[in-house]
Amino acid sequence: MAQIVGGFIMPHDPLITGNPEIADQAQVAAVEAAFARVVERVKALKADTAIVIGDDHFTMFGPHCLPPYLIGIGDVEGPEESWLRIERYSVPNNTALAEHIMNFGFDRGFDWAVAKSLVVDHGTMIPIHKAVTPAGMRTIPIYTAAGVTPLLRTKRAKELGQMIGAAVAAFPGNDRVVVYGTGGISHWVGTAEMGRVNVEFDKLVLGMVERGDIDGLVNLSDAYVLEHGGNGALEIRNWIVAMAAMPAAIRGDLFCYEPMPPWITGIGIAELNLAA
Amino acid sequence: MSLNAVEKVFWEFGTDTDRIAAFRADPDGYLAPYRLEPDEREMVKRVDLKALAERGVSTLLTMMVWPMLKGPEGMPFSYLEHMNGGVMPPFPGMPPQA
Repeated sequence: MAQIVGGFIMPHDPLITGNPEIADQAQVAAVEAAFARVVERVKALKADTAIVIGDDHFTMFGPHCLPPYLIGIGDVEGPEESWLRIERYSVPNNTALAEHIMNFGFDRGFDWAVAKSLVVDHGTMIPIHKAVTPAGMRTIPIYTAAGVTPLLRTKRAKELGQMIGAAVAAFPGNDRVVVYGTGGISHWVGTAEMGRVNVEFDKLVLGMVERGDIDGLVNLSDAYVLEHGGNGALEIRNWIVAMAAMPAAIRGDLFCYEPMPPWITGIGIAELNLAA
Repeated sequence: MSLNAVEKVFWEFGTDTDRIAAFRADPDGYLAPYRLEPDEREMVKRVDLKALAERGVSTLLTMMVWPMLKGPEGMPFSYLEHMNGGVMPPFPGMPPQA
């Protein structure tokens, strides 16, 4: 049967590829090294598929249709944005597993929005470009409502993750799967406070990841997150999905934390290790 | 104020950049089909994104349309100055102030 063999949390900040020059180069090197370490780890895990959980930023979906959670089951390419300095390319999808996750969800009360053809934004394309393509894996893109209101409830994000984990375990294949929870940490997007990074908040959240405290993340109210982490920090619900999908309790192993105001974001990358 | 129509106006600027030229050429004519309140229409016409954000328009959209309507030069500093009421806050990498 298929297995989830690993998980990671990582940023999807578009400035990582779109404008690396404006940041402190030692910090940039630390972030690049952490992404390289993710690639090294997924190769060691012999993973062949990454479920990449991200969110849109009014790039892919507009006011006419805002899915609470969406899965790409067919053709994927990216990025949508022309300014990421990534030339658009076709992203291989594990369509059989993606369709299985879709149907598994449908049969259990999860009414996915579905894309048969998807051009992804930086919300998944940065992690794909930095940590899926270099590892030679296929991608199953999942989008949650974490960037544009109305938001997916954090409790539902946990349930979604648990369902995804169960779906993978029920798939009759030999697929070795990693889950990437992407986004965050503190950042204020487009607001008067843009550029602010709250190290205290970031360390609070990373501490919960290190302890495997999914419920701690679930129980952070949106009001608290908005005040202390900015509208961008609401993306940690993607981390909740990833952590909840893991087959057992996890302990986070922090690869890097860099507060980077020029990139308007606190950058954190960690592996979700299955606790002994 | 409904905000939905404002967000639709801004979203559609992003989907087809020819709309920017049409808006600039005839703002009232361009905005006429949208279900905007009079004060919303005026705020859109004068690109008062700060006021619109304070009323709940997504700042993902305000940040997206500012360079479309004001030109990309000066991003993000001109945008931040606008969102801070004309006072540029400390921001890493900002150009020296006169």
